[in-house]
Amino acid sequence: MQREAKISNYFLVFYCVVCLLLLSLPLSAPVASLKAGIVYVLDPAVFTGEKAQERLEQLPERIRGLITADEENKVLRAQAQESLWLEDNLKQLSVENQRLRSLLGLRAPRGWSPLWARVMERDPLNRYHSFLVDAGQNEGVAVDDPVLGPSPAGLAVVGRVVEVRPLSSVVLLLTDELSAVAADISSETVEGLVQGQGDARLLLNYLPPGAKPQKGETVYTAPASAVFPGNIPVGTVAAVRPEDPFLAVESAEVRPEVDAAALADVAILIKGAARPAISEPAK
Amino acid sequence: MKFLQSILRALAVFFGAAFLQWLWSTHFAPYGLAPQILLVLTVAEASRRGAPPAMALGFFWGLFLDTRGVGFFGANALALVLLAYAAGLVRHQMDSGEAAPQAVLAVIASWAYFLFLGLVSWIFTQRFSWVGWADFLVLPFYNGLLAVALALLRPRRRGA
Repeated sequence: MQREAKISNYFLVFYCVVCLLLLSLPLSAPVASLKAGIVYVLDPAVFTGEKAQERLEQLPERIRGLITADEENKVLRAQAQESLWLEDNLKQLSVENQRLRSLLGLRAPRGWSPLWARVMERDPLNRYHSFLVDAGQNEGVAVDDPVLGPSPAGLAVVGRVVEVRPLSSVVLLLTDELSAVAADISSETVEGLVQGQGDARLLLNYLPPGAKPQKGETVYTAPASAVFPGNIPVGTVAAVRPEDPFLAVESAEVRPEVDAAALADVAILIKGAARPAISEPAK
Repeated sequence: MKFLQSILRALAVFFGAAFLQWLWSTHFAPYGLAPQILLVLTVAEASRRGAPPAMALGFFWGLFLDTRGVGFFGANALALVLLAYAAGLVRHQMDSGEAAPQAVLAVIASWAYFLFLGLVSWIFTQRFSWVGWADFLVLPFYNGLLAVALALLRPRRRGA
Protein backbone atom coordinates (compact mmCIF):
# COMPACT_ATOMS: atom_id res chain seq x y z
CA MET A 1 0.00 0.00 0.00
CA GLN A 2 2.80 2.35 0.98
CA ARG A 3 4.72 1.37 -2.11
CA GLU A 4 1.75 2.11 -4.33
CA ALA A 5 1.29 5.48 -2.69
CA LYS A 6 4.96 6.25 -3.25
CA ILE A 7 4.79 5.27 -6.90
CA SER A 8 1.63 7.28 -7.25
CA ASN A 9 3.35 10.31 -5.86
CA TYR A 10 6.30 9.95 -8.23
CA PHE A 11 3.93 9.43 -11.14
CA LEU A 12 1.87 12.43 -10.07
CA VAL A 13 4.92 14.65 -9.99
CA PHE A 14 6.12 13.35 -13.31
CA TYR A 15 2.79 13.73 -15.07
CA CYS A 16 2.13 17.11 -13.53
CA VAL A 17 5.50 18.38 -14.69
CA VAL A 18 4.91 17.05 -18.18
CA CYS A 19 1.40 18.48 -18.32
CA LEU A 20 2.50 21.86 -17.03
CA LEU A 21 5.26 21.92 -19.61
CA LEU A 22 2.72 21.08 -22.30
CA LEU A 23 0.40 23.78 -21.01
CA SER A 24 3.12 26.36 -20.64
CA LEU A 25 4.92 25.80 -23.93
CA PRO A 26 2.17 24.95 -26.40
CA LEU A 27 4.05 26.44 -29.33
CA SER A 28 7.50 24.95 -28.59
CA ALA A 29 8.92 22.44 -31.00
CA PRO A 30 8.88 19.40 -28.67
CA VAL A 31 5.28 20.02 -27.64
CA ALA A 32 4.20 20.63 -31.20
CA SER A 33 6.03 17.45 -32.23
CA LEU A 34 4.36 15.44 -29.47
CA LYS A 35 0.97 16.76 -30.48
CA ALA A 36 1.65 16.00 -34.11
CA GLY A 37 2.82 12.50 -33.16
CA ILE A 38 -0.34 11.79 -31.17
CA VAL A 39 -2.49 13.11 -33.98
CA TYR A 40 -0.52 11.00 -36.45
CA VAL A 41 -1.14 7.87 -34.39
CA LEU A 42 -4.76 8.45 -33.44
CA ASP A 43 -6.25 10.30 -36.38
CA PRO A 44 -6.17 7.37 -38.82
CA ALA A 45 -8.05 5.29 -36.26
CA VAL A 46 -10.71 7.97 -35.94
CA PHE A 47 -10.80 8.49 -39.68
CA THR A 48 -11.16 4.76 -40.28
CA GLY A 49 -13.83 4.58 -37.63
CA GLU A 50 -15.71 7.42 -39.27
CA LYS A 51 -15.56 5.75 -42.65
CA ALA A 52 -16.64 2.42 -41.17
CA GLN A 53 -19.50 4.13 -39.41
CA GLU A 54 -20.51 5.82 -42.66
CA ARG A 55 -20.52 2.50 -44.43
CA LEU A 56 -22.53 0.91 -41.65
CA GLU A 57 -25.05 3.74 -41.87
CA GLN A 58 -25.40 3.17 -45.60
CA LEU A 59 -25.64 -0.59 -45.22
CA PRO A 60 -29.46 -0.90 -44.99
CA GLU A 61 -29.86 1.46 -47.92
CA ARG A 62 -27.31 -0.48 -49.93
CA ILE A 63 -28.98 -3.78 -49.11
CA ARG A 64 -32.32 -2.30 -50.07
CA GLY A 65 -30.76 -0.96 -53.27
CA LEU A 66 -29.26 -4.36 -53.96
CA ILE A 67 -32.61 -6.09 -53.56
CA THR A 68 -34.32 -3.45 -55.70
CA ALA A 69 -31.59 -3.77 -58.32
CA ASP A 70 -32.02 -7.55 -58.29
CA GLU A 71 -35.77 -7.18 -58.83
CA GLU A 72 -35.19 -4.61 -61.55
CA ASN A 73 -32.61 -6.89 -63.10
CA LYS A 74 -35.15 -9.71 -63.31
CA VAL A 75 -37.74 -7.43 -64.90
CA LEU A 76 -35.20 -5.98 -67.32
CA ARG A 77 -33.95 -9.44 -68.26
CA ALA A 78 -37.52 -10.50 -69.02
CA GLN A 79 -38.04 -7.32 -71.03
CA ALA A 80 -34.78 -7.85 -72.87
CA GLN A 81 -35.76 -11.41 -73.73
CA GLU A 82 -39.18 -10.22 -74.85
CA SER A 83 -37.67 -7.48 -76.98
CA LEU A 84 -35.27 -9.99 -78.50
CA TRP A 85 -38.19 -12.23 -79.32
CA LEU A 86 -40.10 -9.25 -80.76
CA GLU A 87 -37.08 -8.22 -82.79
CA ASP A 88 -36.75 -11.73 -84.14
CA ASN A 89 -40.45 -11.80 -84.87
CA LEU A 90 -40.19 -8.45 -86.63
CA LYS A 91 -37.39 -9.72 -88.82
CA GLN A 92 -39.42 -12.79 -89.72
CA LEU A 93 -42.46 -10.66 -90.47
CA SER A 94 -40.35 -8.36 -92.60
CA VAL A 95 -39.00 -11.27 -94.60
CA GLU A 96 -42.47 -12.72 -94.93
CA ASN A 97 -43.81 -9.33 -95.97
CA GLN A 98 -41.24 -9.06 -98.74
CA ARG A 99 -42.02 -12.57 -99.88
CA LEU A 100 -45.77 -11.94 -99.89
CA ARG A 101 -45.26 -8.67 -101.76
CA SER A 102 -43.40 -10.56 -104.46
CA LEU A 103 -46.13 -13.18 -104.51
CA LEU A 104 -48.76 -10.50 -105.04
CA GLY A 105 -47.07 -9.56 -108.25
CA LEU A 106 -47.44 -13.10 -109.65
CA ARG A 107 -50.33 -13.86 -111.91
CA ALA A 108 -52.03 -17.16 -112.39
CA PRO A 109 -52.64 -18.45 -115.92
CA ARG A 110 -55.80 -17.29 -117.55
CA GLY A 111 -58.79 -19.34 -116.57
CA TRP A 112 -57.27 -20.51 -113.31
CA SER A 113 -57.60 -19.13 -109.81
CA PRO A 114 -54.65 -19.39 -107.45
CA LEU A 115 -55.15 -20.53 -103.90
CA TRP A 116 -52.12 -19.70 -101.87
CA ALA A 117 -51.11 -22.21 -99.28
CA ARG A 118 -48.21 -22.60 -96.92
CA VAL A 119 -45.97 -25.61 -96.90
CA MET A 120 -46.84 -27.21 -93.59
CA GLU A 121 -44.64 -30.23 -93.46
CA ARG A 122 -41.74 -31.47 -95.47
CA ASP A 123 -39.97 -34.74 -94.86
CA PRO A 124 -36.23 -34.03 -95.01
CA LEU A 125 -35.61 -37.52 -96.35
CA ASN A 126 -38.19 -37.07 -99.10
CA ARG A 127 -37.86 -33.41 -99.88
CA TYR A 128 -37.92 -34.08 -103.66
CA HIS A 129 -40.97 -36.28 -103.45
CA SER A 130 -43.82 -34.55 -101.66
CA PHE A 131 -44.90 -32.10 -99.00
CA LEU A 132 -48.02 -31.14 -97.12
CA VAL A 133 -49.78 -27.79 -97.57
CA ASP A 134 -52.29 -26.12 -95.30
CA ALA A 135 -55.13 -25.94 -97.79
CA GLY A 136 -57.50 -28.82 -98.34
CA GLN A 137 -61.02 -29.84 -99.14
CA ASN A 138 -62.44 -27.03 -97.03
CA GLU A 139 -60.73 -24.50 -99.27
CA GLY A 140 -61.87 -26.20 -102.46
CA VAL A 141 -58.71 -28.10 -103.33
CA ALA A 142 -59.18 -31.21 -105.42
CA VAL A 143 -56.96 -34.06 -106.54
CA ASP A 144 -54.77 -33.29 -109.58
CA ASP A 145 -54.91 -29.55 -109.04
CA PRO A 146 -51.64 -28.11 -110.34
CA VAL A 147 -49.32 -26.61 -107.79
CA LEU A 148 -47.03 -23.74 -108.77
CA GLY A 149 -44.33 -21.93 -106.91
CA PRO A 150 -42.92 -18.43 -107.16
CA SER A 151 -39.75 -18.01 -109.14
CA PRO A 152 -37.93 -15.08 -110.70
CA ALA A 153 -39.60 -15.91 -113.99
CA GLY A 154 -43.09 -16.01 -112.47
CA LEU A 155 -45.09 -18.94 -111.28
CA ALA A 156 -43.41 -22.20 -112.16
CA VAL A 157 -44.39 -25.83 -111.89
CA VAL A 158 -43.91 -27.50 -108.53
CA GLY A 159 -46.17 -30.52 -108.64
CA ARG A 160 -49.77 -31.56 -108.31
CA VAL A 161 -52.17 -32.45 -105.56
CA VAL A 162 -52.42 -36.18 -105.06
CA GLU A 163 -54.32 -36.39 -101.81
CA VAL A 164 -56.86 -34.03 -100.34
CA ARG A 165 -57.79 -33.89 -96.68
CA PRO A 166 -60.25 -31.50 -95.03
CA LEU A 167 -57.61 -29.04 -93.92
CA SER A 168 -54.52 -30.04 -95.85
CA SER A 169 -53.34 -31.59 -99.07
CA VAL A 170 -50.43 -33.71 -100.17
CA VAL A 171 -48.50 -32.37 -103.13
CA LEU A 172 -46.53 -34.74 -105.32
CA LEU A 173 -43.52 -32.85 -106.57
CA LEU A 174 -42.45 -32.85 -110.15
CA THR A 175 -39.08 -34.15 -109.06
CA ASP A 176 -40.67 -37.38 -107.77
CA GLU A 177 -40.09 -40.44 -109.96
CA LEU A 178 -43.83 -40.85 -110.44
CA SER A 179 -44.29 -37.31 -111.75
CA ALA A 180 -44.30 -36.30 -115.35
CA VAL A 181 -45.59 -33.41 -117.36
CA ALA A 182 -45.77 -32.79 -121.08
CA ALA A 183 -43.36 -30.00 -121.94
CA ASP A 184 -41.82 -28.15 -124.83
CA ILE A 185 -38.69 -26.13 -125.34
CA SER A 186 -38.83 -22.43 -125.92
CA SER A 187 -36.91 -22.55 -129.23
CA GLU A 188 -38.75 -25.49 -130.71
CA THR A 189 -42.30 -26.53 -131.05
CA VAL A 190 -41.42 -30.09 -130.19
CA GLU A 191 -42.89 -31.76 -127.18
CA GLY A 192 -41.31 -34.02 -124.72
CA LEU A 193 -42.04 -35.39 -121.29
CA VAL A 194 -40.44 -33.98 -118.19
CA GLN A 195 -40.00 -36.76 -115.64
CA GLY A 196 -38.94 -36.63 -112.05
CA GLN A 197 -35.76 -38.43 -111.05
CA GLY A 198 -36.12 -38.42 -107.29
CA ASP A 199 -33.49 -35.74 -106.88
CA ALA A 200 -32.98 -32.08 -107.77
CA ARG A 201 -32.83 -32.75 -111.53
CA LEU A 202 -35.56 -33.52 -114.04
CA LEU A 203 -35.32 -35.44 -117.24
CA LEU A 204 -36.78 -34.04 -120.44
CA ASN A 205 -37.40 -37.24 -122.34
CA TYR A 206 -38.91 -38.46 -125.55
CA LEU A 207 -37.83 -35.52 -127.65
CA PRO A 208 -38.01 -36.31 -131.34
CA PRO A 209 -34.69 -36.86 -133.07
CA GLY A 210 -33.14 -33.62 -134.28
CA ALA A 211 -34.83 -31.50 -131.62
CA LYS A 212 -31.43 -30.34 -130.44
CA PRO A 213 -32.23 -28.73 -127.13
CA GLN A 214 -29.70 -26.12 -126.05
CA LYS A 215 -28.26 -25.69 -122.64
CA GLY A 216 -29.97 -22.85 -120.76
CA GLU A 217 -33.18 -23.05 -122.72
CA THR A 218 -36.37 -22.73 -120.75
CA VAL A 219 -38.74 -25.66 -120.66
CA TYR A 220 -42.46 -24.90 -120.47
CA THR A 221 -45.48 -27.02 -119.88
CA ALA A 222 -47.11 -28.07 -123.13
CA PRO A 223 -50.69 -26.99 -123.80
CA ALA A 224 -51.45 -30.62 -124.29
CA SER A 225 -50.76 -31.37 -120.64
CA ALA A 226 -53.71 -32.99 -118.94
CA VAL A 227 -53.01 -31.42 -115.56
CA PHE A 228 -51.10 -28.19 -116.07
CA PRO A 229 -52.04 -25.20 -118.11
CA GLY A 230 -49.70 -24.50 -120.97
CA ASN A 231 -46.65 -22.23 -121.02
CA ILE A 232 -45.82 -22.52 -117.35
CA PRO A 233 -42.06 -22.58 -116.78
CA VAL A 234 -40.80 -25.94 -115.65
CA GLY A 235 -37.05 -25.37 -115.66
CA THR A 236 -34.01 -24.79 -117.78
CA VAL A 237 -31.97 -27.26 -119.75
CA ALA A 238 -28.91 -28.04 -117.71
CA ALA A 239 -27.29 -30.68 -119.90
CA VAL A 240 -28.06 -32.41 -123.14
CA ARG A 241 -27.54 -36.13 -123.16
CA PRO A 242 -25.59 -37.57 -126.07
CA GLU A 243 -27.62 -39.21 -128.72
CA ASP A 244 -28.06 -42.91 -128.34
CA PRO A 245 -27.92 -44.65 -131.70
CA PHE A 246 -30.15 -47.39 -130.37
CA LEU A 247 -32.89 -44.97 -129.29
CA ALA A 248 -35.16 -42.99 -131.51
CA VAL A 249 -35.56 -40.15 -128.98
CA GLU A 250 -33.38 -37.50 -127.42
CA SER A 251 -33.27 -36.36 -123.82
CA ALA A 252 -31.86 -33.59 -121.68
CA GLU A 253 -31.39 -32.84 -118.03
CA VAL A 254 -33.49 -30.02 -116.72
CA ARG A 255 -32.90 -27.91 -113.64
CA PRO A 256 -36.28 -27.10 -112.06
CA GLU A 257 -37.29 -23.45 -112.08
CA VAL A 258 -38.39 -23.73 -108.49
CA ASP A 259 -36.45 -25.46 -105.76
CA ALA A 260 -39.33 -27.28 -104.18
CA ALA A 261 -37.18 -28.26 -101.25
CA ALA A 262 -36.95 -24.62 -100.17
CA LEU A 263 -40.48 -23.43 -100.85
CA ALA A 264 -42.55 -21.74 -98.19
CA ASP A 265 -45.68 -20.86 -100.15
CA VAL A 266 -47.29 -22.41 -103.16
CA ALA A 267 -50.19 -21.54 -105.38
CA ILE A 268 -52.72 -24.27 -106.01
CA LEU A 269 -54.42 -23.60 -109.30
CA ILE A 270 -58.13 -24.15 -109.35
CA LYS A 271 -59.84 -24.30 -112.68
CA GLY A 272 -62.11 -21.36 -113.35
CA ALA A 273 -63.29 -19.34 -110.37
CA ALA A 274 -62.26 -20.61 -106.99
CA ARG A 275 -64.40 -23.50 -105.93
CA PRO A 276 -66.70 -22.69 -103.05
CA ALA A 277 -65.12 -23.69 -99.85
CA ILE A 278 -66.81 -26.47 -97.97
CA SER A 279 -67.95 -25.05 -94.70
CA GLU A 280 -67.54 -27.04 -91.57
CA PRO A 281 -70.63 -28.88 -90.43
CA ALA A 282 -72.67 -26.99 -87.84
CA LYS A 283 -72.09 -28.27 -84.39
CA MET B 1 5.05 -12.56 -20.37
CA LYS B 2 2.79 -11.11 -17.74
CA PHE B 3 4.30 -7.70 -18.39
CA LEU B 4 3.68 -8.07 -22.12
CA GLN B 5 0.09 -9.14 -21.43
CA SER B 6 -0.48 -6.12 -19.23
CA ILE B 7 0.98 -3.83 -21.93
CA LEU B 8 -1.24 -5.36 -24.56
CA ARG B 9 -4.25 -5.11 -22.29
CA ALA B 10 -3.45 -1.46 -21.57
CA LEU B 11 -3.14 -0.72 -25.28
CA ALA B 12 -6.42 -2.49 -26.01
CA VAL B 13 -8.17 -0.62 -23.23
CA PHE B 14 -6.63 2.68 -24.34
CA PHE B 15 -7.58 2.41 -28.01
CA GLY B 16 -10.93 0.71 -27.34
CA ALA B 17 -12.00 3.38 -24.89
CA ALA B 18 -10.78 6.21 -27.12
CA PHE B 19 -12.76 4.76 -30.01
CA LEU B 20 -15.84 4.29 -27.83
CA GLN B 21 -15.58 7.88 -26.58
CA TRP B 22 -15.33 9.15 -30.14
CA LEU B 23 -18.18 6.94 -31.36
CA TRP B 24 -20.53 7.82 -28.53
CA SER B 25 -19.84 11.54 -28.54
CA THR B 26 -20.03 11.76 -32.33
CA HIS B 27 -22.91 9.50 -33.24
CA PHE B 28 -24.94 8.68 -30.14
CA ALA B 29 -25.23 12.01 -28.39
CA PRO B 30 -28.89 13.11 -28.11
CA TYR B 31 -29.04 16.87 -27.57
CA GLY B 32 -25.24 16.80 -27.74
CA LEU B 33 -25.04 14.91 -24.46
CA ALA B 34 -22.64 12.01 -24.23
CA PRO B 35 -21.00 10.57 -21.13
CA GLN B 36 -17.31 11.18 -20.56
CA ILE B 37 -16.29 7.58 -20.93
CA LEU B 38 -12.58 8.27 -20.54
CA LEU B 39 -13.13 10.11 -17.29
CA VAL B 40 -15.36 7.37 -15.90
CA LEU B 41 -12.90 4.69 -16.99
CA THR B 42 -9.97 6.55 -15.43
CA VAL B 43 -11.78 6.68 -12.10
CA ALA B 44 -12.87 3.05 -12.43
CA GLU B 45 -9.33 1.95 -13.29
CA ALA B 46 -7.91 3.84 -10.33
CA SER B 47 -10.50 2.28 -8.02
CA ARG B 48 -9.81 -1.16 -9.26
CA ARG B 49 -6.09 -1.34 -10.02
CA GLY B 50 -4.69 1.59 -8.21
CA ALA B 51 -3.52 5.07 -9.17
CA PRO B 52 -0.32 4.41 -11.21
CA PRO B 53 -1.86 2.51 -14.15
CA ALA B 54 -4.91 4.76 -14.06
CA MET B 55 -2.70 7.86 -14.12
CA ALA B 56 -0.84 6.51 -17.16
CA LEU B 57 -4.06 5.74 -18.96
CA GLY B 58 -5.60 9.03 -17.89
CA PHE B 59 -2.55 10.94 -19.09
CA PHE B 60 -2.70 9.48 -22.59
CA TRP B 61 -6.48 9.62 -22.78
CA GLY B 62 -6.21 13.25 -21.77
CA LEU B 63 -3.72 13.90 -24.55
CA PHE B 64 -6.12 12.17 -26.93
CA LEU B 65 -8.90 14.51 -25.77
CA ASP B 66 -6.56 17.49 -26.04
CA THR B 67 -5.76 16.66 -29.66
CA ARG B 68 -9.48 16.50 -30.43
CA GLY B 69 -10.13 20.09 -29.38
CA VAL B 70 -8.55 23.51 -29.64
CA GLY B 71 -8.24 24.10 -25.89
CA PHE B 72 -5.08 23.98 -23.85
CA PHE B 73 -2.91 21.07 -24.86
CA GLY B 74 -2.27 19.12 -21.67
CA ALA B 75 -5.22 20.40 -19.65
CA ASN B 76 -7.32 17.25 -20.05
CA ALA B 77 -4.26 15.10 -19.45
CA LEU B 78 -3.49 16.92 -16.19
CA ALA B 79 -7.13 16.77 -15.11
CA LEU B 80 -7.39 13.02 -15.66
CA VAL B 81 -4.04 12.39 -13.97
CA LEU B 82 -5.20 14.31 -10.91
CA LEU B 83 -8.54 12.50 -10.90
CA ALA B 84 -6.78 9.15 -11.12
CA TYR B 85 -4.52 10.11 -8.23
CA ALA B 86 -7.47 11.23 -6.16
CA ALA B 87 -9.45 8.09 -6.94
CA GLY B 88 -6.39 6.06 -5.98
CA LEU B 89 -6.30 7.83 -2.62
CA VAL B 90 -10.00 7.13 -2.07
CA ARG B 91 -9.39 3.50 -2.87
CA HIS B 92 -7.21 3.27 0.22
CA GLN B 93 -9.98 4.60 2.41
CA MET B 94 -12.97 2.61 1.18
CA ASP B 95 -14.10 -0.08 -1.22
CA SER B 96 -14.74 2.17 -4.16
CA GLY B 97 -15.08 -0.59 -6.74
CA GLU B 98 -18.81 -1.20 -6.19
CA ALA B 99 -21.55 0.43 -8.21
CA ALA B 100 -22.74 3.04 -5.72
CA PRO B 101 -19.27 4.39 -4.78
CA GLN B 102 -18.35 4.40 -8.45
CA ALA B 103 -21.42 6.47 -9.28
CA VAL B 104 -20.66 8.94 -6.51
CA LEU B 105 -17.01 9.15 -7.52
CA ALA B 106 -17.95 9.66 -11.17
CA VAL B 107 -20.35 12.48 -10.33
CA ILE B 108 -17.85 14.25 -8.06
CA ALA B 109 -15.01 13.67 -10.52
CA SER B 110 -17.08 15.18 -13.31
CA TRP B 111 -17.75 18.36 -11.36
CA ALA B 112 -14.10 18.55 -10.34
CA TYR B 113 -13.10 18.01 -13.95
CA PHE B 114 -15.26 20.89 -15.19
CA LEU B 115 -14.05 23.22 -12.48
CA PHE B 116 -10.44 22.26 -13.07
CA LEU B 117 -10.66 22.96 -16.79
CA GLY B 118 -12.21 26.35 -16.02
CA LEU B 119 -9.46 27.02 -13.53
CA VAL B 120 -6.71 26.16 -16.01
CA SER B 121 -8.36 28.44 -18.53
CA TRP B 122 -8.50 31.20 -15.91
CA ILE B 123 -4.81 30.72 -15.04
CA PHE B 124 -3.64 30.94 -18.63
CA THR B 125 -6.13 33.40 -20.11
CA GLN B 126 -7.60 35.16 -17.10
CA ARG B 127 -11.00 33.92 -18.22
CA PHE B 128 -12.94 31.11 -16.55
CA SER B 129 -14.09 28.66 -19.17
CA TRP B 130 -17.56 27.61 -18.11
CA VAL B 131 -19.11 24.49 -19.65
CA GLY B 132 -22.66 25.72 -19.12
CA TRP B 133 -25.24 24.81 -16.53
CA ALA B 134 -26.88 22.13 -18.65
CA ASP B 135 -23.68 20.14 -19.03
CA PHE B 136 -22.59 20.91 -15.49
CA LEU B 137 -25.83 19.54 -14.05
CA VAL B 138 -26.64 16.70 -16.44
CA LEU B 139 -23.35 15.20 -17.56
CA PRO B 140 -22.09 14.21 -14.12
CA PHE B 141 -25.20 12.10 -13.58
CA TYR B 142 -24.89 10.66 -17.05
CA ASN B 143 -21.32 9.73 -16.10
CA GLY B 144 -22.60 8.31 -12.82
CA LEU B 145 -25.05 6.05 -14.66
CA LEU B 146 -22.27 4.87 -16.92
CA ALA B 147 -20.07 4.19 -13.92
CA VAL B 148 -22.83 2.08 -12.37
CA ALA B 149 -23.23 0.14 -15.60
CA LEU B 150 -19.47 -0.46 -15.83
CA ALA B 151 -19.28 -1.55 -12.22
CA LEU B 152 -22.12 -4.01 -12.70
CA LEU B 153 -20.71 -5.36 -15.94
CA ARG B 154 -17.09 -5.73 -14.86
CA PRO B 155 -15.99 -9.30 -14.19
CA ARG B 156 -15.72 -10.16 -10.50
CA ARG B 157 -12.61 -11.66 -9.07
CA ARG B 158 -13.01 -15.04 -7.49
CA GLY B 159 -13.44 -14.79 -3.77
CA ALA B 160 -14.13 -11.10 -3.95
